[in-house]
Amino acid sequence: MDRRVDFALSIAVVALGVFIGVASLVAKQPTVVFDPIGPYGFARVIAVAFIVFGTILIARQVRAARAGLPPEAVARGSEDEEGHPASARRALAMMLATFAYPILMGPLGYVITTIGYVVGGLLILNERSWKWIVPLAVTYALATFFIFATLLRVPLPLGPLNDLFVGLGLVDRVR
Amino acid sequence: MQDVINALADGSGMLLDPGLWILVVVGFTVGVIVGALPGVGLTLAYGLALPFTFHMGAEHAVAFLLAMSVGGQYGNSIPAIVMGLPGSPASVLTVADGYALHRQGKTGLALGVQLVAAFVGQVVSTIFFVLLVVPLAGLAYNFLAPELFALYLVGMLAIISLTGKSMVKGFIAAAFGIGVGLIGLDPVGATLRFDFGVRELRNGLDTAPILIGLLAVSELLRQARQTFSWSELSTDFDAKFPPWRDVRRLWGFIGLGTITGTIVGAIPGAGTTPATLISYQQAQMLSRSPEKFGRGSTQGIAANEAAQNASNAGELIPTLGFGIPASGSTALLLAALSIQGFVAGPQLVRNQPELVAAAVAGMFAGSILIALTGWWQCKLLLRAIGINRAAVLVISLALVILGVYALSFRVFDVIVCLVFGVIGYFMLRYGFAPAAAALAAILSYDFERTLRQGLNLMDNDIVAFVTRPLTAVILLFAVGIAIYGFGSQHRMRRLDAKAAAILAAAAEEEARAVATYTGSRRAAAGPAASHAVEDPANPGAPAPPGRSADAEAGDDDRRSPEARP
Repeated sequence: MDRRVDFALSIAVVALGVFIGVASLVAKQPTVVFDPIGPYGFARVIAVAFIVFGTILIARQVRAARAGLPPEAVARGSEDEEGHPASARRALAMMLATFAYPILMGPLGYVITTIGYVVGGLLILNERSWKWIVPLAVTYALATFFIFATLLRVPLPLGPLNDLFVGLGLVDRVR
Repeated sequence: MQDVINALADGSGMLLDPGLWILVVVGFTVGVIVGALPGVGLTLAYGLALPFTFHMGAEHAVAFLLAMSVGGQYGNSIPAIVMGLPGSPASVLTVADGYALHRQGKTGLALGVQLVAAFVGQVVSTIFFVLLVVPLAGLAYNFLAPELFALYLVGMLAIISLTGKSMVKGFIAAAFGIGVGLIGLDPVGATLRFDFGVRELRNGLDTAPILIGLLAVSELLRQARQTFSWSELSTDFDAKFPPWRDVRRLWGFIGLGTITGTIVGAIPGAGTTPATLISYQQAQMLSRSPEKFGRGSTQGIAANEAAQNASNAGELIPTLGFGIPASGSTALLLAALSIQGFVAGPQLVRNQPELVAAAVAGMFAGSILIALTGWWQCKLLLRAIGINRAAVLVISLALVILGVYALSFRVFDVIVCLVFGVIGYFMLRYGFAPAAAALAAILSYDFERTLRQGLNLMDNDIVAFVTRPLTAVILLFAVGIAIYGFGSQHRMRRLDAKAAAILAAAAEEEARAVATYTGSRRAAAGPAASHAVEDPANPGAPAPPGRSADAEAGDDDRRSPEARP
């Protein structure tokens, strides 16, 4: 793990604590409070906890930096599988694709965005065999649409394919 | 006592009905499949099955739904062990130990322990359910806000053992989880908090998308960092049922998980995930080898799986006994009952005991199916290792998104799930313990509510609050857990530090030995060879330089130039 990112996260923790503390102090307090804790008591405790613990982390990291330790440190969290290169860019691309998927589902419809997401996700994960990527994406999109939208009546948007699906009798109303 | 015997006898008698068995087999199979799919979940499976129950009798409907629940709790741990993918948030700790065992070639041991723990947890908790549902229904009036607060405090203290390698970061994660629960309406005065003008935040954030994001999506995104095939990691795995002596020594942990799962599952608002986390924490506290937890501990798997399956019966106690659903799936169970014309509560237990018998039949039948078909299903899913890993990851993410959307038909919930997934990814990478955050997020609302309502009840007298008899007993137990938990974590960290020091000393010794050897060979070869450093195992190739433990650990990221977290 990169100590610099770890340091940035520690600062973010302290900043979050300050933000919550200030927000709870400036928020409009209710005129009647039924108990000594009140609606913002827990928030203030959380804010103090973030500031104290975040400061402890920052102090440890400053000490490590002064000791001249390299930026890369032993991972403190879940580690990658040994022997296989890990790419943060790949994970980031996957995150962006996964966020784009539900956002685009409204205008483009479930079927089109699902096919696009599955194909895109597999390309991000270095799969290149179109022989099975496209059939898998289409099969998954149609099968889940049938199960969820037709059987379970989950209102999945169809976008430009709406008229086609209504014409085929697969859905019985505008989505 | 007569009620208990009658319920057990009637429930067992229903097992002679072939029609019930058909429904149970279908329900159990659907449950296992749904349980194995990340992000889909039992609530969705219940939603799929509910319309079919309208055409069944009430007893058959209850037995069918409960067999599905048993199948789901059993099924979601199989991919956790063989693929490192949690089928639901409750099996995330099974990933830690089960997948580690699978990587060590002990797949059969992990799956065998999981099967036995699931079976025993399910059967024993069913008996507990029958023993407890009637008396606890009567105790409903004794468990007020102070007592419930004490129970939630016990749950919160389980966070101590979920903090991972850094306790400070673990507490930050827990504080984050509690903070998430503060968004929305204040549970006592209905003051709107931290909504920042966003309409969707006024009722707070639903816990299901948060849990799925923190525990499932985060892991899927983390796995997307690498591309490889599962079969590359599983060349020599053993898929034989383990010897009984290996399973027998885990009875204590299975018992612990069963009791914890039943009790915690019975707390409204708690449910399966906190039951498994708390059971795991207690098992780690009591284990003689706590350092193995998270690295392939069969004790951890036993406690986790027993609790997960026992929570089924635990959740039924408030659901049927008080009419308070303990989870999303039990809420749908109540919906199924109300459509059939039944109202759950203490009167139901007394006046319609056949429904209690049907619940017993469904759970017993599901348990029998675990024993008869569970191992065969494990072997079937083992073949899934040959499936393309990238396809499973992408389809799992797509299913999670669809599953979360299907809960309330809101894109906002999906976005929340993904945001917490990204937060969970960074938590995983930097040691902030997403399990601690998840547990705190589940319990946060009720933790605050019961404390503040309890103080109200006692006229803001804290002494009167903590000296209520039941509250005092549970609080003393909580203090005991806290002291033991801190001590245990401290001991583990000292052991870890000693082990790291021994490894570092050994590495330094090896480096010195290599340097001495290559230096002496250079001297023997003469001055001309002084700039050529040879690897004795590979003549002609330069020997690698000595490395520090820190540099070695950073190698994975350095190998790929673009890999910066």
